[in-house]
Amino acid sequence: MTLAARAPAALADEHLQQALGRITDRYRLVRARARETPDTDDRKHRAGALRREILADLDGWIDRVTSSLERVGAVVHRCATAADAAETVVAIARAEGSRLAVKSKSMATEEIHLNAALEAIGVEVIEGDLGEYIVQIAGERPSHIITPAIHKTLGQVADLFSPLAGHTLPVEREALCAFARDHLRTKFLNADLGITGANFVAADTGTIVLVTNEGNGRMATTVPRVQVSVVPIDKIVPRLADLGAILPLLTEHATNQSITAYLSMTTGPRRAGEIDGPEVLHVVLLDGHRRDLVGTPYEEMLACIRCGACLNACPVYAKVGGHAYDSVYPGPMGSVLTPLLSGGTEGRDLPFASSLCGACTEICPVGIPLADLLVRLRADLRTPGPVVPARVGRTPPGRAGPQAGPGPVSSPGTRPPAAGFPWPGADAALSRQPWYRSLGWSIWARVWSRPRLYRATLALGRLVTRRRSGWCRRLPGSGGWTATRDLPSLAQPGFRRLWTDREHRR
Amino acid sequence: MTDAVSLLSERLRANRCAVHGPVDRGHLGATIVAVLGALVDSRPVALPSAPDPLLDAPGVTAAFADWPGSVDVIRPDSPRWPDEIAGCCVGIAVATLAAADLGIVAVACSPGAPRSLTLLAPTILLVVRAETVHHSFEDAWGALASGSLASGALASGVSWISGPSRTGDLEMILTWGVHGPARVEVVIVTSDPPADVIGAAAGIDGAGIEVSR
Repeated sequence: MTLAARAPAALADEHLQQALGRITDRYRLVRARARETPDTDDRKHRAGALRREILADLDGWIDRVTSSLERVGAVVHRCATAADAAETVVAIARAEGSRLAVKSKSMATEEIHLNAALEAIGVEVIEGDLGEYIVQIAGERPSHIITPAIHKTLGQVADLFSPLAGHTLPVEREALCAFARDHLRTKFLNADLGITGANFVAADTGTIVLVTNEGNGRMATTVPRVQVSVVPIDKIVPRLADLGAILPLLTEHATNQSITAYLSMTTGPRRAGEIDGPEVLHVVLLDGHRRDLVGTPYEEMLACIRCGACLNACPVYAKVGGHAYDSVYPGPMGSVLTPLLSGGTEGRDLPFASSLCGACTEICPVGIPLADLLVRLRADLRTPGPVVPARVGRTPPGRAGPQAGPGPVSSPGTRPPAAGFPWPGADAALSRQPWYRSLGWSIWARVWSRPRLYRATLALGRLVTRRRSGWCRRLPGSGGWTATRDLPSLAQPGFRRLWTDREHRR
Repeated sequence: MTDAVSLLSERLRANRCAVHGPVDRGHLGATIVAVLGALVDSRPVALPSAPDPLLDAPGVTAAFADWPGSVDVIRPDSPRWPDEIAGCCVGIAVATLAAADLGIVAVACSPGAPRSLTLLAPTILLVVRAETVHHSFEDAWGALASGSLASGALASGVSWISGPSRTGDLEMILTWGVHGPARVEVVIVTSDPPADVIGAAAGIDGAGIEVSR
């Protein structure tokens, strides 16, 4: 089932459409803040360069972060696949005799489907983030990487919480929040296993940094005797100090806050004499197909800081919501990451479900050319037969970013055209269209690549639509394009006429 | 008052903290008592282990002794701590440093000031020394990250706190007080007055003392 097939249900869901309106509001605020802040472009440029620094020597940085983590007393597990990572955490929970695990918000643990793996061995797992907790008791998955329960109304949350409370809770934010606080507080205080992801991990100090507003990150790293942090390798930053430039950009783009309520630094387990914090700290370094991306144009995705701004900016996400993607990561970054991180087995239709308007590229705080990557993925997913990974020249630090000029993907002339899909199995099925549509496109391409024919068809079009009052209600043969919207009729006079008139007037 | 300190006050208030001071050390105890007045009930107040250089200075403990009614204080080195920290009404801690431009305060944990000191009570009071206020977040973060502070190595846990716990998960409207404290009080204290002034104690204002940073 594709996104296109799941979209109609999402479009018909009134609650969802109402909720998604708030996402668009947030996007407008974030965009306005970025435009009004004079040094935004410089800061984005700098943060983008810092995030790409690890790409030149990812394996080296993995070694460095491993030794730093071990130096401060953490136990490091390197896991090649999502399944390995989940098994590793399960083994830790088993060895430590864990019974109740509390989590801080983490997309990496969603990626490795950790909750199900732990529940299978009888560990009770509680999501600490309010949004994640709502989604957990609803038996769903997050529909947004920052605001997981964006699709739930207050009434739906009250309906979910009331059975836990044993009585009917009022449909009021404060009351529902207070209930969650008390209910989850008991869990936090009794948990013997704390599970976190990481917003970043610093290679020089071995420090794990968590960014939260509620305090779930602090809870999960304070009370439980054992802590496990699942850290994808793209979360590495060379120096802890670098985050001073990155964290405010993250929070501005994620929630339109100059900074969140909490930033937590964890450097190793508790030390001699300390009475809280984990006695044992395990760090699971997750590859999950990330190393495959290095040296391909897709390595850009390893700069992603998971702020979710591209989801909010995306006109597709803003209409269908996260669940229609049926992937851990939705929206533009999810449409790129899902096929890449699954080794090409999941979300193969997602890069095609985009209008390629470029709003994601524009808003991205670290200058990832998302729209270009979507186009490239379309091509790579269509190429039949095995695609040998073509390692190309590295993007120099600072080259990407809002003012960087042509990006590495959009200008094949400056970079060898790479077959970037780093695994075999791309296929032609995705591009299969009805023969008449393929024929139509190829005729169109032949006609419009000849200037005379191009002008002639436009003149004809103007002649046909000249009586229309700006809109064509129906355009037969357009594959349903006018089923739900009108088509603007051709401008009278056309652009070329306006242009030549203007030139004559000079 | 330096620019950085006034900017910090302004930004912390914008982040929904209540900010008091700057006061000199001679007035710290009285200020804490005045700020917490109505917030302290029969539940204990959590303090760092004694002796804390700031909170156990003679003038401060004297002010605590004069607290209207009785205050039940627990400290991390007390056997009561593990059972009672979750039931405290207030936690009081001294910040490691602060960043003025974003209005955020960093608290490093230590054996005498555990992580839970600033996490579990519904109200926390953070004492910020004016000389530890950096103008920019990047400088403050860098100072802590590079271990260039007088306190030496990076603590095992550092919590940066900009205001009350909050969530946007209920229809994307901010709701206050989820897991962490719903109320954050910040008291800014200036650096030491001259020794003879400490002896004279309360009544002498430290406003004339220039703060270097």
